[in-house]
Amino acid sequence: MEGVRVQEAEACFLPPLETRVKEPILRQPAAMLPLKEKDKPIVQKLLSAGCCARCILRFCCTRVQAAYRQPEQETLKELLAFISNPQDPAALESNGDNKSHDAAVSESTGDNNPHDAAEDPPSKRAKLEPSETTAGSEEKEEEDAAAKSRVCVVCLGILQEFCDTAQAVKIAEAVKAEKYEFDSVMCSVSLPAQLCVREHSCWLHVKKEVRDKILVLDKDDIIPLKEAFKWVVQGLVSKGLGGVAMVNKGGLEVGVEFTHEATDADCHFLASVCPDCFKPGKKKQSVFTRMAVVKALEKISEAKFLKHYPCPPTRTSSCCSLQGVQCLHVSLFIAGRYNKFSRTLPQTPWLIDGERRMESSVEELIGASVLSSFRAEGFNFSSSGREDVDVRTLGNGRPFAMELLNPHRSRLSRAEMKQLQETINESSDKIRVRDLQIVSRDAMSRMKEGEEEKTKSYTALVWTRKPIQSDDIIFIDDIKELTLDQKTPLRVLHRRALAVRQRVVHSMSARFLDQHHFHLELKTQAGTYIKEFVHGDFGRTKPNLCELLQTDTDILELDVESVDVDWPPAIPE
Amino acid sequence: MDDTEQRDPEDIAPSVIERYYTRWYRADMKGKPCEDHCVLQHSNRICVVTLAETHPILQNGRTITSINYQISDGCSRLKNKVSGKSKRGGQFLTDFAPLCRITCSDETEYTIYSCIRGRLLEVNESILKTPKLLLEKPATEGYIAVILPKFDESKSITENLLSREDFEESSPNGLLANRSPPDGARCSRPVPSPSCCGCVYLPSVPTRLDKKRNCGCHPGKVTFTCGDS
Ligand SMILES: [Zn+2]
Repeated sequence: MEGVRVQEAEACFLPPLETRVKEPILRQPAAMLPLKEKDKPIVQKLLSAGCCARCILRFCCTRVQAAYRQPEQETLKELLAFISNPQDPAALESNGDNKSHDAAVSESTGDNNPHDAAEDPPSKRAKLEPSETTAGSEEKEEEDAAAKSRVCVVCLGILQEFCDTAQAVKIAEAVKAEKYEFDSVMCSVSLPAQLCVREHSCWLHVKKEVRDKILVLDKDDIIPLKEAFKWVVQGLVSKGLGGVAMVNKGGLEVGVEFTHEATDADCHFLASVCPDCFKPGKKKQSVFTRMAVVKALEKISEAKFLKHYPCPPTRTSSCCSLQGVQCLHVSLFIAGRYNKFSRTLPQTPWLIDGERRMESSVEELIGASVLSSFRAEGFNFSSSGREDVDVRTLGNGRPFAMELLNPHRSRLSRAEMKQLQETINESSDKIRVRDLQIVSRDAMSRMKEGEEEKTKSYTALVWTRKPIQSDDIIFIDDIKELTLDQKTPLRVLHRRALAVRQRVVHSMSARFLDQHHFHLELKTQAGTYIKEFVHGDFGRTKPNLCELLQTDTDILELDVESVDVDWPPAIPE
Repeated sequence: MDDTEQRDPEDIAPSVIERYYTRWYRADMKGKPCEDHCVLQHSNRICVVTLAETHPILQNGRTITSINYQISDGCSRLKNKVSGKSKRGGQFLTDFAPLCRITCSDETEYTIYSCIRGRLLEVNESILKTPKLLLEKPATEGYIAVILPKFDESKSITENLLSREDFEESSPNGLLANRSPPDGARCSRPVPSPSCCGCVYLPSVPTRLDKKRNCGCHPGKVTFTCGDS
């Protein structure tokens, strides 16, 4: 029995002769694969089912990365040797520790023993092929063609041809074409959803077998396809990019997307069994997303699955295809301070019902030059507080930070940052930027931390209903540490909780202008609503300036004179 | 949205109410002559209910003896509490929900109604302590209540109300004609520039971090965030 199976497997998986001659095969004894005796039945079953060598390693839960990196043909040969030698004491006994075998495999791959193709007698293959097809009928022809193709029934080629150097070079070239500046690369892989279905089917296939032998193997123990793919390909891509470091987080994310023509056909049965997992989305082309398929597979009973889907999965001659390589550089953060000199300039674009209310905005005026310098795709703007559209921000300005999305440039020198700042300042007289610098993501939180405790200084232009003399407002200068009870202003009440907040006006100073106007300078606790302090907000801020002056007062202009947050650090001019 | 019109700098600067609120009226509430109510709707949809200038309480130097937010044995508007940004727990009012009863020194009692559908956010406790606020500043410090209409009803709730123009036309004896804006010389400087609540649009940049939210100021398809000072 065993012998037959092996022959079948070999017949299916040996590549055409010419391939084997071209690729020098490393010679290793089977014992070098980190497999144990208990893996044997699994290997046997998977081989006959049409699994590729690397998928078999995955199902054997091998975490030895070097075993995946060696040429697929070599691994296949070792697997065949492994199962055909049932009494190999080395395989039986000394495989308890994966680590030692990791070393063994690495060493032997390093050896680079060129293997003469002639050593593998082609006659063996020739002999086997007819034996496989003798029983074949007309109907079986198509099936046999699929069987002969060496496309893995589980990964549909992902751990086969897509793991070779040529593919890695292709990926690296695609990255290079985007002209990024980067220090490290992170790989991400997107796979067609039916691979999950196939993996599930294959898992049920081996599970059946191993359960009889009381071997412990859980679906979660299987090495994820993505992980195995990365083990093989990341190093090759890194080499193609001049040896850049591969990381798990940050740097340049290289997204490799694979698709398969038969995804919908392969997954279709799931939709009829678990219709609620596949609600049609608005923009999605197919309901068979990976997420939905995984969810459905968790829900579906084993019996139901087996009723609707072949186990092991059917063979196919069609491979996945590389849909594209998408690069995304991790965000970069810059910070600085801005002045706003206009009363018709909002901080961020102001649109109502899709229509622009104001021509530009602070963030756009700053953003335009920043985007082109960093060749970024977009940005998120944040700042320490925010002024209303009609409020100017003077003095040293308001701290701000920008997250630059997918920047193609990431290393601007101090001089280049200074140049960028000058470019921004020359582009508009409505704003001015200083202290522009690259910061870390963490440092950004310093800006928000400072917000609440700090003081802010303002100048307001105040109107009074009753005519005033300069003497009438002198008393204002003597008011110190005035505590206000501010109900959430009506103008923001729709989006903030209703509460009474105590805020302190540390000091004030009044400068008489004419009998209905004066300038009021205020130093207040951050978070004080100045406009409401002046007009009273239906008596909801108390005390307010109307009460203090015993007449209606209104605020006509407001300037922020300083935002006392000591971040980002000042940069000397 | 009226407040965002470009005004001639020579114009008289508008007051806070004129800048940010639209005035709506309900005349002859429940068929009672002159019991006119006013609803000030902020551009962020929040409504402040006040007595209209023509309401009998405000005529002929009357005095108020009591203001009662306890509108029935089981219901007091003073017990209204809202929590969180979503204003959970606020009493929901319909057009003719009573807000309070006001008794004048001549023993006449008037009921003030909600005028619009929405969630009650607050009532004005200051007028309980100082009833004359209601007489002296009916449109501002003497307000009756603050109501938040539902987001999708923010425009329809005023459909049954009169605009200021319509109200003035309908009002007998041109009562309002005598109530021209306060004559104290208003500013002839450039008018404070348009801003509702300082709402601004968030750019739709492709990012996973970008969380858009709708501030609710502007019923429409756009997402906004708001200014703070
Ligand atoms: Zn495979």
